Amino acid sequence: MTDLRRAGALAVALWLSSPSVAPAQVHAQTAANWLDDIDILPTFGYIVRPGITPPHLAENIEGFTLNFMAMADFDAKIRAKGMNPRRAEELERYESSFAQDKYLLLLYIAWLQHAIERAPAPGTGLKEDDVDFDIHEKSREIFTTRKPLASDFFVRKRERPEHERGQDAALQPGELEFKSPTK
Amino acid sequence: MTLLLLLLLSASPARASAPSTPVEAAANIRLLTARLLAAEKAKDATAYASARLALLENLAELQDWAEKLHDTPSIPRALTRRLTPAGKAALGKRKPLNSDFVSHGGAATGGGALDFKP
Repeated sequence: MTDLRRAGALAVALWLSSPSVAPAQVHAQTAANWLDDIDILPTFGYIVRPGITPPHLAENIEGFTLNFMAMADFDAKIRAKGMNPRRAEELERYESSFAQDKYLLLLYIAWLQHAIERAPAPGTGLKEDDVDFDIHEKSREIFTTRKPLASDFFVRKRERPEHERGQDAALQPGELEFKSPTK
Repeated sequence: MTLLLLLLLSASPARASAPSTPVEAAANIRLLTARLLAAEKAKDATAYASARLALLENLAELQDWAEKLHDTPSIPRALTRRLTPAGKAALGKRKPLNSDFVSHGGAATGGGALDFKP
């Protein structure tokens, strides 16, 4: 039993034990429906964490992927068990976020992929706490229809701490040209 | 501490390559990212190169899967296309091309809407 399900079961138990609730028969039926749905409702894998760091990107990629698989499981179970208003509402909610989830998953993949491509060896730029580049606004949505290009990325302009200034002359705003080492 | 982390990560099961499902690829990506950062800290070029290539492979195959997501009922449970040997060899030198993939059965896909123009 997942933490979510355990928490849900506990919430139902607490709710049923509350002295202010309506007739027990109604509650028992509602709880039965609710517990039945616990087996269907997907456990979200969403992790979306603030900041753009390689570990966060990797976690978000896993979170969104798990979420898509949970959506697929949910859809299959609904088709097997039949629809009810609550399930229909949940399904609609997941369906409505489908395009946005796909977009974010591809965005995070492109971000992490580019960070790793830019750092062929230790000491060549991969950092745990940040990435130095961004993705052009016009390129972001396009990732749902084509693979990323090197020209979709640019080095992010940001204020550097005093002690770092002068150490990163190569990091200028503008297009980041990804050149094959074989060329 | 970094060395200990690197050793622990290196001792993880050898599932960090050749994923067959999206969930496996995503888990590999998280694992390999941690392994890559540990190698970066330890300045271990061999471990770094190994993790980097495996990570790029997992990212490329998950990216290819994600590009084709259309709606909930049709979400593929397995990775539908794999990198060709040539595609794997090109990882880290350039971004993956649509033509770097073949369908899971091995047949060439012949490209399509996701055609990549360098």
